[in-house]
Amino acid sequence: MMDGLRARFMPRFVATARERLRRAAEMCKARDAVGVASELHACAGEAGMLELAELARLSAAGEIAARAWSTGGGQTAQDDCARCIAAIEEELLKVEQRTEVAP
Amino acid sequence: MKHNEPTTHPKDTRVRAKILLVDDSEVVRDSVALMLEARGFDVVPVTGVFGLPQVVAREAPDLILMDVSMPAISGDKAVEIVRRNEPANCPMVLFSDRKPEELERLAYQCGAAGFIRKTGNGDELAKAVETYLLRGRGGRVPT
Repeated sequence: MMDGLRARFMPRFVATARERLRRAAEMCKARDAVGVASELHACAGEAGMLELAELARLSAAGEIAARAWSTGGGQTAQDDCARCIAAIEEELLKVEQRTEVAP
Repeated sequence: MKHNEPTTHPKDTRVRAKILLVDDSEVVRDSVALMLEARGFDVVPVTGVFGLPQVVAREAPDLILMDVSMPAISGDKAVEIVRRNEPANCPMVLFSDRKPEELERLAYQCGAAGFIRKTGNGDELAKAVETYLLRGRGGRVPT
């Protein structure tokens, strides 16, 4: 069932996740920590539904970093968030390559 | 026809129970619908909470699965709104991948019947939904 679910939803998931990460990166630059947390939370939830464990874990870690940033972190917290987003993008690329999703 | 045959109760999960799924994520809505419909449920997907009390009144679902983190208004607040405006004659269940202890607290605070954690395991999801359906309105299920 999970293979069927992944096969059916992976292209849409990847496209959505890419868009979320693009928005998250923009929000990160604009210092919108709450916005970043929201996008990464959604990304974690969707990855979890498709049982993409590492992607869900990285996204959740990014959300935690963004929430920490929103409650008073400075440049370091912002840099942490940017690193998290980059790591999620990297993992998304691996997922794409594993599942041979067409761009 | 044999006498004393058991009748089918409206909430019996052997009939197609109607699940109203409120989630802003298209991927989640469609994947949950696919999993539950494959297991004998009818799923009515809803993208957000705008006009939700009216949707609940129109669809008369057997259970509402409510995402917690939505952009306009959080799911726990939406549960409160539905309860105030259109007291749903069905369990409202928070649906999220947040930590169980947080979901338990939110469910208690907003008056939801409980929570189900998001999962891509269709059998697990269907079983959790069935549990709430069988317990009926207001039933709290420790998970």
